Amino acid sequence: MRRRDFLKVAALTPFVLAAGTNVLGQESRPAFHEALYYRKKGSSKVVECLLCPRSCTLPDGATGFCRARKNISGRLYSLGYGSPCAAHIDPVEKKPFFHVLPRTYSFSVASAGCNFRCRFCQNWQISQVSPLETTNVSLPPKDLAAAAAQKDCRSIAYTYTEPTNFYEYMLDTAKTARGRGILNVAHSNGYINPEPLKALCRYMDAVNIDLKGFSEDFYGKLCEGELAPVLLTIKTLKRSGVWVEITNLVIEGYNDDEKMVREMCRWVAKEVGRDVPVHFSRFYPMYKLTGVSPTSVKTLERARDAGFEAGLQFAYIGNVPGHPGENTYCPKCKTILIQRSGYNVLNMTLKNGKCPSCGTKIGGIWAT
Amino acid sequence: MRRILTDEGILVFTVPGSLAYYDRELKDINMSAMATAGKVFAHVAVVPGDENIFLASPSAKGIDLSPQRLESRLRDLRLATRLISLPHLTYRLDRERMEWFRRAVEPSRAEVNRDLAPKGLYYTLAYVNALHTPSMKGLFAAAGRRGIPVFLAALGLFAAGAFLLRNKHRRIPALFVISTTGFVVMLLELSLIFVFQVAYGYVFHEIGILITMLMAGMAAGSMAAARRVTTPGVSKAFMATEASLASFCLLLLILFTLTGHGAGAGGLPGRLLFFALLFVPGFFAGMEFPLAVELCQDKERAGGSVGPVYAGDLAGGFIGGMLGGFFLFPLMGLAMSCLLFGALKAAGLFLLLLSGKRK
Repeated sequence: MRRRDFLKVAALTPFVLAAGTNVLGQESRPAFHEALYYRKKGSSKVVECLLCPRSCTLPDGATGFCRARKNISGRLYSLGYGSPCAAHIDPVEKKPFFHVLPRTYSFSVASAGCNFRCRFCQNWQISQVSPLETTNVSLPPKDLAAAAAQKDCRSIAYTYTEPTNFYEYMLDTAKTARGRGILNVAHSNGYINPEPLKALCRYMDAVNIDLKGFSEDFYGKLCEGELAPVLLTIKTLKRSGVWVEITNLVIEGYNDDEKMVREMCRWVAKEVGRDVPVHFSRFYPMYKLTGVSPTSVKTLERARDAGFEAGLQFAYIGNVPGHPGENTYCPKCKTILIQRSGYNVLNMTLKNGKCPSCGTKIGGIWAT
Repeated sequence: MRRILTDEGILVFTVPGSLAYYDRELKDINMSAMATAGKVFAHVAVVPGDENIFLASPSAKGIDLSPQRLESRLRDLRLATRLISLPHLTYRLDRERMEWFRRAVEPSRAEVNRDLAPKGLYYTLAYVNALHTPSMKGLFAAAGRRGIPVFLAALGLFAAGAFLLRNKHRRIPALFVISTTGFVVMLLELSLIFVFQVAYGYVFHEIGILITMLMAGMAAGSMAAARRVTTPGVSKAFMATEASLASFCLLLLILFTLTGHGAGAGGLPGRLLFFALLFVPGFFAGMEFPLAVELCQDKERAGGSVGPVYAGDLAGGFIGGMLGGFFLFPLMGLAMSCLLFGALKAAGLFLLLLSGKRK
């Protein structure tokens, strides 16, 4: 960064950090890092962000829809590089990943911002603000990978907010982590352009995509997003050899229509694969969608049944701890392979990724 | 709560939380709840989650957060549960997460919530504001930090302006008095409704009667004053009303200070007292209106005198209603607010006295 740009950036961030909130690292001002995917428009200082399908055109000084990318003097900067606002150690089941190293912990990080505006966002305090507004900790990629290794985490999860917003940080960390034998996993809305996604796939081991509904109408009205690019992302991930799991937050009256759910399951089975786990997760009133009741267990069970009828081998019920739909069953002989309650694995009989009873191979990442 | 709990009893309540991040609003609302519970109970514990579970008890024995002991108690009682298992308890009651929560909210300087100084109301409003109108977060936070001094300064400037300009235009003292009366009476009404809620635990059932009492007072006051406007003692009556309002504010200040927590209001006699307390400021406000119109009267145009007086009264009420619930009561407390109202009315009286001497 040029001295002039640096001074400009410093002047643009007139905020005082409150005291620390995070588990690790020292508090820091957000670090600015030049974005990898953007282009200058003409000879002016206007730039176009090429990271996600929103393709924000930003005049000098403007911030993108995601609040995490800013045009400073004709260069686009990612605002949250190396300074996450959240860093926690979670069970990998919390992401949720049910077919990725069960019973292990994932070092989970997030920087503020999101390229969606979901009315039911669980982490709206950080997803709907800019990295300039949050209290952050200094955790450069190397330190993050080292911290994960030190804490015996088998994976680093890019989660809580939309990781596309801190793409450069995620990519650099993923490269470092891979060198240390740590898996890279992400929970994403899948709203990213194919080119940056393919570059990321080289270092990403598993991604859980929030397939929020199966209609453009739902995406438009509740998330200010689009469905088609998300479907393309899921297919691209699968083709790139990344392990994919899908989460569908079922909200009654919005995306629980039986026809819609069946159509979604059929699409997953046909276009992505029958072995892709789909998590039908229970909605709880949240953020701006507080006038809707928590999803009934029956609705979730119906969705799960629709998944099996569509040919999916692994359909789960989420956010209902203790429900049998949280367990992994052998698709062939129906033996319980992994018994769960919430984020806890109570019992695991799976051996070397195979059913101990019939020897059926179960898709997933079971060892590193 | 403390009074009705046994020594090993536990008060359990939830406050919005997060397992990822605590912004200022979330920190404040949780810190205030912790400080408030800690003020009353010797032992307070928080189980962090998307909703934080607060446990408060007079005895440490009441709060046992050992997953093993809780699980063994379940087994002893032969309670079959699907969710509550040892792994679940171990996850929810993880010491590191509890420690993280404590460190996350600790920087907050949020204060204890009291019945008659409801700081928690401000923190809750700030949280809801951050949720629905994030663009106003900074303004709301700044108002919390510096709003009261700025407001007092603005009020001081308004009063100083009225004092300085009192001889420039004969209407100014009366308009100052009537607009501050609109402001004060609106806030007295709100404060009494608030205290009613604190004392009885509900207000919805009787909100109609409470508001009606103020209106009845205003009607009675207007009728009473109507007789005096024909006599030459209008100014004196105006001053007497202003003095009465100032005294009433001080009476409420004493009442709020003595009752402290606002509890123990009693049955019907308590209600009647509330009705009477709402009637009185309404009566004085009702009295002041025709007196102010008389003092501001324009012989050629009746509407020309009524309009500004009515506008001043309503504008004062509007500003009071907007500021009172959001900032004044939560940040200053009800008792201090009454002191401010009394001072405002005393200033009005002083202004009337000065302008009376000049004549």
